[in-house]
Amino acid sequence: MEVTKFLKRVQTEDFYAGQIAHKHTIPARSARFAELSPPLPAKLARLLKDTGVEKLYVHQAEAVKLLRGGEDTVVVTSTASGKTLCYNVPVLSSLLEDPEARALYLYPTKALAQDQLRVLQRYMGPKGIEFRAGTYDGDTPASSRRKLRDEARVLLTNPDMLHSGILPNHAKWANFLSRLRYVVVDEIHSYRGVFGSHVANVLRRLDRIAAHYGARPVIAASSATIANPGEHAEKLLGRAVRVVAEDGSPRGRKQFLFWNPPTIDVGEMERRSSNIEAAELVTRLVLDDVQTIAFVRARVVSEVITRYAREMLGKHRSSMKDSVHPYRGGYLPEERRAIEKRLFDGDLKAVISTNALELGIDVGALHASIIVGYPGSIASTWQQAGRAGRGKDEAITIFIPYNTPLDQYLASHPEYFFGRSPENAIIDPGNPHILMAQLRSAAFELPLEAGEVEAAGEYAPSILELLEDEREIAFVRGKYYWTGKGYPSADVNLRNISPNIYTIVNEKAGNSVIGTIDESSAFQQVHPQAIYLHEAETYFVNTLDTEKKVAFVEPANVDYYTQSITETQVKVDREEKSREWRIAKVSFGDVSVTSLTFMFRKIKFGSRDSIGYGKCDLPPQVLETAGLWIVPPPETFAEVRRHGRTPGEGLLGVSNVLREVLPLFVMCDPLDVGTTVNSRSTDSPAVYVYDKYPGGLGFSLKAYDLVEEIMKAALDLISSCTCARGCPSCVGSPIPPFSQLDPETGGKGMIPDKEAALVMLHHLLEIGPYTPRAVERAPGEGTPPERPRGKPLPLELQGKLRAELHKKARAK
Amino acid sequence: MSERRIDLKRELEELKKRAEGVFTARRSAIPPRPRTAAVRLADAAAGEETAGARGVFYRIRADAPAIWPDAPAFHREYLEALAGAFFPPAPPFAPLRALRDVPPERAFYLDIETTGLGGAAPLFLVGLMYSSGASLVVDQLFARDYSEEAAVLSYLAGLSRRFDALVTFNGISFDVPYIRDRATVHRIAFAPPAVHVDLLHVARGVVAGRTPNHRLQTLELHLCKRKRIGDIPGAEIPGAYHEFVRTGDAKDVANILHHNRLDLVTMLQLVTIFLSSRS
Ligand SMILES: [Zn+2]
Repeated sequence: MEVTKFLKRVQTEDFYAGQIAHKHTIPARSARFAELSPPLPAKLARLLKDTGVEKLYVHQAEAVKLLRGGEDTVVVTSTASGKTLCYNVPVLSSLLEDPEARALYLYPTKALAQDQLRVLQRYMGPKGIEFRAGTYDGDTPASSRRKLRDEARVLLTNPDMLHSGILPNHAKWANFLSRLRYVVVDEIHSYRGVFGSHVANVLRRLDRIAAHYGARPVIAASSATIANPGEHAEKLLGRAVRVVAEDGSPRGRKQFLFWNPPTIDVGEMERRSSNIEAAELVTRLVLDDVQTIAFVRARVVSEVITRYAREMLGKHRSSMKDSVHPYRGGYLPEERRAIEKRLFDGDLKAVISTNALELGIDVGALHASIIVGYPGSIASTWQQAGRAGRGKDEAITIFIPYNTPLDQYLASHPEYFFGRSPENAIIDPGNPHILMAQLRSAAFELPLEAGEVEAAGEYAPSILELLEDEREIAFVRGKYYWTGKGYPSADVNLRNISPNIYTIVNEKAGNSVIGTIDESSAFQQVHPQAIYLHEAETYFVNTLDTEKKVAFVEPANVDYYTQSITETQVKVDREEKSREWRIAKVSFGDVSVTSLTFMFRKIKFGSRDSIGYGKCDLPPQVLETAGLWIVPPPETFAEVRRHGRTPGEGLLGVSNVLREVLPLFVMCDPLDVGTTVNSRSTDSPAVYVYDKYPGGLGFSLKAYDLVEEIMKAALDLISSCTCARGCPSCVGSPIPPFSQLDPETGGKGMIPDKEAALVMLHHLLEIGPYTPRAVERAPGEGTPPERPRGKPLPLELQGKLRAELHKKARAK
Repeated sequence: MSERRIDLKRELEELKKRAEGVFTARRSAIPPRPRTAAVRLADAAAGEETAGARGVFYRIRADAPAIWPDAPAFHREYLEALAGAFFPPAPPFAPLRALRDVPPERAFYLDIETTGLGGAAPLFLVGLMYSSGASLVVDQLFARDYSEEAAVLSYLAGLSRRFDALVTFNGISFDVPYIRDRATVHRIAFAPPAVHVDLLHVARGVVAGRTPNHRLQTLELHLCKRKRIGDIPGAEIPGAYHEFVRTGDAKDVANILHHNRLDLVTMLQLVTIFLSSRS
């Protein structure tokens, strides 16, 4: 694509008003090839040639060589650099060399496994290599399962299926497992936090079962760019690995643009809609015949932008209307396959997608990617940017911030984005909660031997002792045997998602299923009277049957969509323990986090005006978990106020920082914990940290003992942040509270006052005195009247008054 | 005990408390420990330690009269029915025809007791029954703990080769695949005889609709006109066995062995009844 020309022309269009806030050029890079030694079997070499592969890039050659030499390897190169070939080549060559060889491919999603099966099929058949391969997942019909077990030489599945379907029934898989030569673990960066910690254990279980049947497969892993690929791979796979990171693939020049919608009022507070800007750009690109992918955070936004873009395209060339399509979770699998295929074939010009397409599904060469709103991490942003550009062609990535403090911060600080390394992936396979769940499954599969238990983590022997007390395990003649009931792996869900999936059916089309949605999203998006968007069409929700888990909808031609409003409250159910921490009180116990979707707004397409409200009558959703809470003393609030700052903002800033800092101390992903500020259960406002898993997974429990270290780290992080008033890396949360909503319709969130947080932390940590920077005023705001000051309330009285308020609130 | 260890204990106590929710249902199902004096295995069941290629196990062999006073009579009726059987062409009887074509002492009855329903849970008892001349023998291969399963299976694999036919109740979907899976895990080659008569399949055709269901004990009640009293319910067997392994108290082992024998003898009687039911 001719990016320069496109940019020139766009700047002459009517809608252009200086949106390009920043331009960053990533220079082109030429391909570097390497010879393979030892050479491949002649048949495979010919087959590669037939599929257009003449030579291997340096990273491919290196990976193939290592893997064929029996070394466990992780490949960390850019999107579209030919990572798949790195493992397909050694696997295919093993199939040729050894008629009994088998390989197991693991992908984080079913869709990806199906996509990669299509890649493998290019090598199959009479002209290629004769072998069977298939996907094995929850959708595989029972009738095909046995055939796959007996005949497939390459099996493509996911960790969940390995955990609950294959390993517990390993005797039936003995033939396959005993011949296992390679295990491919693709996209390992997606195995993070609790999910990653579970997967690490599942892989160890696979290792011991394979070993039981006499196999020691070589592991081929791949990862997108993260800060710690080698370390992460070793922890995840439980083996030392070789890291291949020297990317030999060619790359055309890439322009990375920050496209900030223009302000539309004198005060420069309001901006033109980012969704509409995105649609405009998609339209221009499609008219120029440039295949484009736009990434959005929320499902609803993919529908809204598609709608806008279709409308705009219709005005230019009505035949082009259908060349834009939404893509997101919740579509039926066959619908998704059809969109992927149309995109691959070039028939579809643009797709507006959630991160469902972020993982490596092959949709061919796209030339432009548009990122609408910050995806929440540097790593994700690069992944999405990487979707544009293949080979030597020039490509473009356009980041369109929303008019939220966080996105606007990024828009005005491009150096923040380009100067930072991507995030670390953190896992903790030894987390006692996870380990207990996994040891139960492992013991069920084969008795655990003393040596294995020692290797399973420092807590493993004690956990087994505990399971023995519970009569789930018996230690007999030096081995731990499972003596509990049922299938322990059925008790564990590797991912933190509700197993309850609602179907969405069209009542006017014979109750045909048009999509699916998980339970918590169902409450927010398909409550009665909601407008559900599907393929950019509007459907009215008649009923939400929470028993049968069905939403009944019918097509309705309306000019608005709906956005629900959910209130989340945390409360203490039982305080288990508490202690004085310096001048504050810190407690740990059971908390419940209640989300109630109580109303919705009707938003007019285009203008984004609220044109009405409605009530939702839905039961609250309650997460009962473990949490800790820190209650600063009244003196700390007084100190913040003394500097003319707002204590609430300080507390919110601390709570946001905790979410950044905590994962490093308790070994989890930032998405595994929640932090918030609330005063319902305490006499004055408190910061809460809770585990986002029913019953808790030990994160906040561990944090309770480490409050001093964690708070010091929080202070360090804010103090050393070079931003002036607060940014997403310190007091601003990069993750919006309701990520399912259209960011243009909800609350904007805020980056709280950094100085207030600093005053608060200095006071709590008894370091000081700290003098904050002078209070700044936004330009043009003038000087507001000072807050009147009277006699300070005695501290006890303050506490009493607050208690009274809370009592009233509770009485309601 | 070192300090770290105490600390660990404390942490795990907490973990345990937090995990309680997950286990409540399961724990309440565990029977309380017996308060009576422990019973030794040798007293519960007279058998002997037997050695095979894969180690030792406990084998309990008994002739029919020792099993049950009526058993020799059942066996005589069975032999007569087999010898005199006239087979109508109706499909339900076809599997029984195969049984008649095999000398009685070349067919064995089989029923297993396991610690679970899936292929990864060990089995611990293989009950066999066969004719030996004019007498009927029950031969039970018992694993005194989980580690003896391989010995039981390997012994069974050897024994199985000496027979031409196998009779089970639901063995096509349960017993045989279960044994095969467990044998695979222990890398033991197990090949059942070529002829396998699954009485569940025969019963479905023969008694169709005349009993509330086709469970063995239902058929026993309606066809053999016998109701078991004091028999250990199948669902309690795994727990009772685990308890024996844990404590060494064999008070329930006799019940399990008895339950297994009742199943075997009932199967034999069902064959007699099916063979005479055409009249
Ligand atoms: Zn900052």
